[in-house]
Amino acid sequence: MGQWLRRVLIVWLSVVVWMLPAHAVAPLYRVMKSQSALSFIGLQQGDKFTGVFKDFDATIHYAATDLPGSSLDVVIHLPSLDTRSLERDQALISAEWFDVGRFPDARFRTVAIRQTTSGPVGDADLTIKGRTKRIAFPFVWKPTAGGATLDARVNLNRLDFGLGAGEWADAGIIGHSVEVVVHLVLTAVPPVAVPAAQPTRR
Amino acid sequence: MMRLRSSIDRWGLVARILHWGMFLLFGVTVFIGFYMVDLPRGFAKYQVYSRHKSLGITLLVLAVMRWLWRLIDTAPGRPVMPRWQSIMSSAMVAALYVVMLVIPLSGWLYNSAAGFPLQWFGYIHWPALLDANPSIKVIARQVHEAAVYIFMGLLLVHIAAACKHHWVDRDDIMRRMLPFR
Ligand code: HEM
Repeated sequence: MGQWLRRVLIVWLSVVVWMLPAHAVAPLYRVMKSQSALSFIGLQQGDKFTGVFKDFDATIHYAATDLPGSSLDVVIHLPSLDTRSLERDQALISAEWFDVGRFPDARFRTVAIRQTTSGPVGDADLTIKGRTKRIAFPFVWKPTAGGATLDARVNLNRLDFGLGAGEWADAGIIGHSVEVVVHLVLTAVPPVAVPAAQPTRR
Repeated sequence: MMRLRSSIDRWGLVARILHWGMFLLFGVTVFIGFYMVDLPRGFAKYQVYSRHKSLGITLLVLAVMRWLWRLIDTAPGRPVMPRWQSIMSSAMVAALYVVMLVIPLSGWLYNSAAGFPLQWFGYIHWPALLDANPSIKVIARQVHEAAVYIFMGLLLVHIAAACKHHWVDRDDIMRRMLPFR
């Protein structure tokens, strides 16, 4: 291999290494938990009730210009559920509903994010109670100073995940459709400087 | 002819229906109340609770109707009796009228403070008195139970008094409230 060819190769490799972390994934964001809420609205005996999951972890990579490198990955810790009723909460974590003893976490993970005329839509795998369902997740992403907000509303059918099957399946007692309302306040995490990945300029 | 309103010597049809109807419903509701609290959590418990609440709301409505009817209707007169007996009798009746409202009202308050919705037998939406509230919930729960015990105590005296009038005094106090003559 000639001297010249070796130099070209080294420069090319350096450029590739430099570009890798920047382009394999879009910028990372961290959730400001105190300002964010993962809530849901259900219907019980014709009355709306609202619940929140107080504890969840989210890994969010997003850039409108780099959807292939963007992803949303959220793990929801179900025992942190709160519907402002002790009795209802106790029922919801029991085996007939979320069964948190066996399935303490739910997971939401996008496999792809695509741009539509009305905004970005995630195709996501949602796993609750051991059952995974592919859902469309349209969301609104608004850049803010130092971060962004992510807002979304999705309707789920609780029976798709075996929540309240059997006798509880009666929609007159607990409605089948549950609206999930997501409001995340995010701060951008500065990319970690990796010395080895710095460009070698000559 | 059946008379809706009461007369000097007889309770009218409305008063008698309310009296005995509520007696039966109260019995059923109290029985369900004591039975349901020990059920294991699950759908059956949920359903039984809903029935209890619907029966309780029915009793609340009946109690309000009974209050109103009592104000419109003229109660039969009392036989001559010692002054202390007359005072006791009025106090008893007043206490019964108050507690028959307090029991369902506290149940309704408890249900509201617990953040639970309510539909009357699944048909009519029944509003909550207030938003979920843990401290009021605890108080309402205690009032609900205590009022039931007080009511059962009052009822015992009430029945004993009726029996005494019938078999000891041999007046028509009991007969004039009986459903059929
Ligand atoms: C006159 C009507 C009513 C009667 C006689 C009645 C009687 C009772 C009794 C005997 C209990 C069991 C108490 C215990 O063992 O601790 C009970 C519990 C209960 N009642 Fe009622 N009740 C009435 C109306 C209502 C209404 C209108 C509601 C709600 C809208 C209601 C809601 C409840 C609830 C939720 C409990 C269970 C409390 C618990 O689980 O700890 N009740 N009631």
